[in-house]
Amino acid sequence: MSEPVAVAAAEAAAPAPAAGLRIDRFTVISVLTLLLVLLHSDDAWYIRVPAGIFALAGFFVPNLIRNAGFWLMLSLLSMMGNALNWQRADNHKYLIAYWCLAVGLSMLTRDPEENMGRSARLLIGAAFFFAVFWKLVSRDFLNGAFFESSLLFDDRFSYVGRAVGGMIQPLQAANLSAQHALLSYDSTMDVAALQYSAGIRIMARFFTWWGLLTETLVAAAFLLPRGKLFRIPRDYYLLTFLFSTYAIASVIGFGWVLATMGYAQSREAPRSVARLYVLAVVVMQAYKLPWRLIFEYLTALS
Amino acid sequence: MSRLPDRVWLSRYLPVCCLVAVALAQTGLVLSEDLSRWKGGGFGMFSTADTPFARFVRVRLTVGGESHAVAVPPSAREVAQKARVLPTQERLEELTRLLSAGRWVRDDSALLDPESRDLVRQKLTALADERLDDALEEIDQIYRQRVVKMRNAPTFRMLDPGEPPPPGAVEVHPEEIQVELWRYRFDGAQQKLIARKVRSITTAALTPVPAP
Repeated sequence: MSEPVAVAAAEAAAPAPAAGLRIDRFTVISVLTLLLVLLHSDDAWYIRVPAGIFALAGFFVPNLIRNAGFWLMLSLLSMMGNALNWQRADNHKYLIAYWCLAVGLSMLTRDPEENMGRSARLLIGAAFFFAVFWKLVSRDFLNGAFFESSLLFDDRFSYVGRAVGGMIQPLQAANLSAQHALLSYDSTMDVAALQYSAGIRIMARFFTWWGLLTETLVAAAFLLPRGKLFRIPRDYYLLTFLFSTYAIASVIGFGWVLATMGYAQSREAPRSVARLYVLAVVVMQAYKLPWRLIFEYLTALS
Repeated sequence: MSRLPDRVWLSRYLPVCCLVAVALAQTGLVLSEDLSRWKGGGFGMFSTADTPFARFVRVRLTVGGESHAVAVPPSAREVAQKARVLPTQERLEELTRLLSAGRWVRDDSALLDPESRDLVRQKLTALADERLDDALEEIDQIYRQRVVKMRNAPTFRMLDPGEPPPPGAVEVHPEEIQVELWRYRFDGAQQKLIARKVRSITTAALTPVPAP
């Protein structure tokens, strides 16, 4: 065999260039959604097991993800889980069910990507609208009481109270003891005294107004037409919310479904914006590191 | 599956219509039945300290004319959780019926068992020893009293369905069961958790009292 012919044969036998491996947007949306269902569906075995099997089937039988019935079945399973376990189901489980429904119904149209993008935008806007509504009408949100309580008693926030809010561990343990004494089945108490620093109040105010501001901006940017008020593309509001909120309130399932829907509706945005949504999902995994333990270890070292 | 262009409207708006319908239903239940804002698909999470955890159940058993606090048994926790999240009269009645129909025993062994007792004592002492601040003395006292109480008070519990009474346990027939639903609110100005009773039901136990 002459040398040029040998080179040509070798090129023909070589794997396809990297461009051939480029993943299309729909595949990214499907993979993010299937992983979401696999890892964050309802906790009850009778939902988790079939949902897990369906989600895995979606990975191994590529045609399935182009089938509306497949997504509608995943949505139905999620809805059943929410209906049967309403007393435990968190709000993002509802959002997962609506999102699977949106993907399934969009598969019945000529332009699935366009329609699931529009549906994603409305779902994000509506979810944030209700979240803001409840915060505005709540008696203990705007005055900072909710976040003060969270910084004292919620494991996801309490280490932040110690790291930045000036709380010391014995004081935090005493507050927890007071709470447990009140909640104990044989308690006769109806008041439990707490003690905390001014730093907790300041942090609670900051979280309150930061949360309300970012959520209001996301709701408005996703529900109102883009105009003078919202010159900044809506994606930046949602990305700011995703990267800031889930660093502390590590409800990863919620962040994940928002990032997936954010990606789905970012068809007209620059490619870098879409990549940021995928990055948000990746970064959220890092948020699950045991920061409380790491902080305690570093504090002990210092 | 065929792609139907007339399904565009449905695909764009049906999911958000579902979201809005469920959220409005949840709003109605919050206003009318005191459903926890954290649950029910209305996106009210992280808006109030009135979480399902801030609502709690206290059960009292009347045995031999004396009232005793008892823990909610594991077999009734799911019903209790529903009563905490959606505290309607029906939910509390359901919990009360479940507790009334159960078999109750006086079983002091669980807390009087030396190993368990020592463990509880060690934990509580360790917790108490960390408090150097005089202002925390009150909480210390509560815990010290609880240790004494645990050591001396009779312990009643409901057997799980099909569970035989453990050795040493004595079956009792409560005259009355009282179920109370409480909730605390976080008062930042006073730096206190303030609990109040939301609902209460008292009922005669359904277990048959054996003939003397």
